[in-house]
Amino acid sequence: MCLAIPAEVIKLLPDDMAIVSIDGVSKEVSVALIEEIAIGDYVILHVGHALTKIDPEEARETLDLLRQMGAAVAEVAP
Amino acid sequence: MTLSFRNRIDVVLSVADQRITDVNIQPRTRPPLGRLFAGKPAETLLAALPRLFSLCATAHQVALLSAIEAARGQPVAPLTRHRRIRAVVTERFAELLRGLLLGPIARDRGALQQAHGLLQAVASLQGDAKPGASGPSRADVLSQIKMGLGQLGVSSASEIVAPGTPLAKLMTAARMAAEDGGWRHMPAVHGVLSAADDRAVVAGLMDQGSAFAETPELDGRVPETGVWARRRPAAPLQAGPVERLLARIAEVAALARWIETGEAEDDSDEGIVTAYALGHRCGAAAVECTRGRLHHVIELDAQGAIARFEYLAPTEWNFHPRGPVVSSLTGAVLRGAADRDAVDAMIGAFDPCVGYHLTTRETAHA
Repeated sequence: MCLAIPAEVIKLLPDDMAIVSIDGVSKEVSVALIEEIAIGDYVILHVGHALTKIDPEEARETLDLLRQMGAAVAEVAP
Repeated sequence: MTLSFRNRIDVVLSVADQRITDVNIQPRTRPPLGRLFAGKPAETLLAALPRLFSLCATAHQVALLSAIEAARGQPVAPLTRHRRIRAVVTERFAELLRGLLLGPIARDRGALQQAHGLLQAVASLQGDAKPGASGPSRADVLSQIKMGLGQLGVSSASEIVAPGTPLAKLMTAARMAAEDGGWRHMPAVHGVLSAADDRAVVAGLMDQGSAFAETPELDGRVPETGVWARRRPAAPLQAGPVERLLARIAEVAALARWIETGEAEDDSDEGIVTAYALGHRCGAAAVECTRGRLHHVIELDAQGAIARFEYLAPTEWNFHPRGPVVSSLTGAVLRGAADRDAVDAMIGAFDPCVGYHLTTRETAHA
């Protein structure tokens, strides 16, 4: 199933679009489904749309967990 | 990217003489949750799952909770069981709807505005399923959802899609793509995964662990799971993107009715949530979620911490290297300009929320 990776809004664009950073990788997405979005907010993405805002602390905890998983995967990779 | 794992599926089509001759699937990395949470209290995993899998958070939580209770030998009260089923069904409704709305429909700004309102109402309904929720009354939310579904084109009449609506346009586009593409000759016939397979799936997870979860099969069989599988045996064996899209819309309509009127009905034999006590502090559970059947298996140590945890997502069946997506695409003749859309529609029809990247590789003519 798809992991929900938190993305940080780093730039707001016209027409309900925004640039988000997913652990350092930038991506342009639609934020039309979210009311009152601001730079620094964390969102959950799905097929090019930001679906929902999440609490920054929760986002950081999730990113920490995902990094641990990445490290665990790297340990067993050939 | 420091999050060093793949979070999308790569689908590579080999095409010769306009025919798909091979489909190669590179899966996502499966998070090694069993290793990460080994030795920790089961509740820590229960808390982490909704953060990791927010689109199917309820399904994962219900599966794990049910498996933990089975491992502990704890009975579940009928009301609790019913609340969980209601939460799973509401999440399935929300995700199926989201999958429909965030496809081609979302390119129309007017339709996107409608989708926004509808998804907000559905989110409110999901919040209503949680204890201590406040906000608009359930009746108001259901009324808003019914109106939104009607505007979208989900009909309450015998014809599932109302003419002149965003969904009708989507259906027309899918039919045109199918006419232009080669799906009429689609050869795929495969079995479906059902609650009757749960014991065999759990045995596979217990015996083979993550190796089984990565490429599951049952006696050489790789069945389909998800919307189309839920319609069997009533539905025909073969289905193209049009039939599958229609099936998704029909399920959205049926779930809306279930949520509105059917909650008091007996749901004991639906297989929506099923738990299995395996003895020796082991338990398992299966949940029929948006994408299909989700399985969890857990073993607790004497202190109640996680000794072992295995899970199998529906995606692993449908996107198996020899599974339903591969067999449905292989052999299809690509003839028209809408080929790419037709292939996308076919892949998307198996799973409303999976992220994938499609590549086509022309090979030498036969």
